[in-house]
Amino acid sequence: MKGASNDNLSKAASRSLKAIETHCQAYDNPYIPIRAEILDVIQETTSQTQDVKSFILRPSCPLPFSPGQFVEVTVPGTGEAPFGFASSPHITDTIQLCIKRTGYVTDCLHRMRPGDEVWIRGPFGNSFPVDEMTGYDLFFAAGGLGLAPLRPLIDLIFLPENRVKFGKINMLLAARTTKDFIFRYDYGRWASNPDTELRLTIDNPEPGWDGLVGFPHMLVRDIPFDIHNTYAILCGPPVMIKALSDAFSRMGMPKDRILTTLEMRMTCGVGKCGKCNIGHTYVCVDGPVFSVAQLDKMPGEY
Amino acid sequence: MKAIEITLSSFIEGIGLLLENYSVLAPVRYDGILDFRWIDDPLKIELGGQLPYKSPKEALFPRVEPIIRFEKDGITDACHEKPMIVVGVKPCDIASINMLDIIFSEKNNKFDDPFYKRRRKNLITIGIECTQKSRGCFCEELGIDRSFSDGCDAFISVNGDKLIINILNPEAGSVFSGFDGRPVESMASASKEDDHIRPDFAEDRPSTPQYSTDPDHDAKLDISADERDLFDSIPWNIYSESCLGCGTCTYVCPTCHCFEFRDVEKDGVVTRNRCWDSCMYPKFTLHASGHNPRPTQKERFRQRVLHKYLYLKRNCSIIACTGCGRCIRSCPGGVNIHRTVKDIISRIEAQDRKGAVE
Repeated sequence: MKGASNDNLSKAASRSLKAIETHCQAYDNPYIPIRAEILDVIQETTSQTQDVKSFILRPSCPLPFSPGQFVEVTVPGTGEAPFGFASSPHITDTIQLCIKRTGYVTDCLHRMRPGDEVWIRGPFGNSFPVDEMTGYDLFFAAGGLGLAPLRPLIDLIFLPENRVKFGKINMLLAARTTKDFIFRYDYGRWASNPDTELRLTIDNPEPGWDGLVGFPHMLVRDIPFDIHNTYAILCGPPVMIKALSDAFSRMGMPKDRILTTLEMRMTCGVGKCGKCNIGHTYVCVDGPVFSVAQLDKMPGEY
Repeated sequence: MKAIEITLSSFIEGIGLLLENYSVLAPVRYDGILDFRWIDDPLKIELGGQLPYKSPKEALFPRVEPIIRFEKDGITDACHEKPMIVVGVKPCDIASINMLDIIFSEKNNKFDDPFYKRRRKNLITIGIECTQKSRGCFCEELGIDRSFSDGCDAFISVNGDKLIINILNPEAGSVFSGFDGRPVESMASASKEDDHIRPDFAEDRPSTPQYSTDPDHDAKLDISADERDLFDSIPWNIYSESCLGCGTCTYVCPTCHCFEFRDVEKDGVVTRNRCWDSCMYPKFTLHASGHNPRPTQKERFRQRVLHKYLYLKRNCSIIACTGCGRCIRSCPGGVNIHRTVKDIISRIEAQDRKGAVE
């Protein structure tokens, strides 16, 4: 496993910087977005509000990114908001974003159709330390929309040439109800990988449900995994991140191997607008990916 | 160093000639208040008085700045290109411009801000010595020399009824070519006379040189502690109790630089404006989900103080407060950042002493 080529992974890891360079070279200005056409809109959740949709966008020039990075999406006249990439990093001519209808910009986006146009700029932020994680088991734990920013990493790791570089993979995906799961079309593909276990959990029992029931931080204790040789990657609402990282560290996992990605209100993406800082750390440039060891050294203002 | 001796009236006349090619920002009285305004009548300029109400940051970072336009065939750059001059900037405000230069450069979080940079390239700064302290100002405690600063393109020293323009940036010196003054020697001799003319002022002149970006500069108001410790060990609610959350402090502040984008649509063209925002507002950090990492005024006030005194010091070695006292004078609730920082420092020292005893 260790002898396998690291080329693809390190390429992806170094992409973040290169991508920003390309962006700046083309436009000489990180504030200027490029045009992107909506190719497809996927209804992700089927609960009453149907408030999560995926958008497949084709940027006017390829937008290479690394897992964990984010992009600022503009609906001209309405505004701009940051979203994590939710597509495979090895696909660069189109990108996927998974978006919940919750504010002005997202409300507008949800009314858009294939053929409509938005503007995007990025990628911004750091990315998951894929090289460091090589050789370890992985434990993905995601709640609701928190699965979206992890999907690029999951897809990268499940490329056959990369899968061999990691040990056992556990996935624990949580949603409020059975109708609130996103990326359902991926689960079969993910679970069919060798030495991979995918578990689904919902908050309350539902008739006909054969998955788990309960919050992820209550369930991880009952899932067998090697705490000394695993990287945990978590994402979800802030309460879930806090509860889960507590659970993992109490089980004895080293805190630098518990990774998460944070969200913040971000206007600029380049560390100037002064909104996303936690102490002196700016989530838009120093994050959004942090280890719990790093978070422990920061004030709890997130 | 090149210098020009000139009478006040000739100087004002000279500025009048520059209005043809430059936008000029200068202290003028407006509704009875001395403030920096874009002028069209040079006779209204008031030099050497008290500190203008707002800071001159508006030349570089305007309240509302159109940055880009979304049009049918693509994006156009809406950035301002006209050359500007700001006149009558006191040493504290010169220091603030030097700080903004760092904050909007790649020294702060790796990225240059192209819009700021372009405005900066088009701006000529003419400083002036500070002969009148304002209520509540404390620049000397932040290592700023009220009598001289070399952080500008030209600096005016007052010598009796004459002005001495010290040209610090030879490139910008050409703007003075049409001024009716006479070349004089360096400002060293002028500043000696200067002391002689106003001994009362010379006495409280700080011995420290002008503002330095060196982290070891001997500012007395220096919070040195771990940010995590300060979050909990300092009773922030005591300071923020009388804060109304109006955000005035951040608007009059010469170094506050937080912003928001706002799109405005007119005749099918959407203009994106960069507008001043304020960390004192609840919505500043409010997520669309309803979650707010800084839910009360206590956290928001803590952010304002520590951003200036700690975070920027860690990230790019500046204390982003010049001691101009504007926030203190304009606060309707009487919040005082000078007293607050002094109190924080004394609490840290008390804790350190306690720690040493134990």
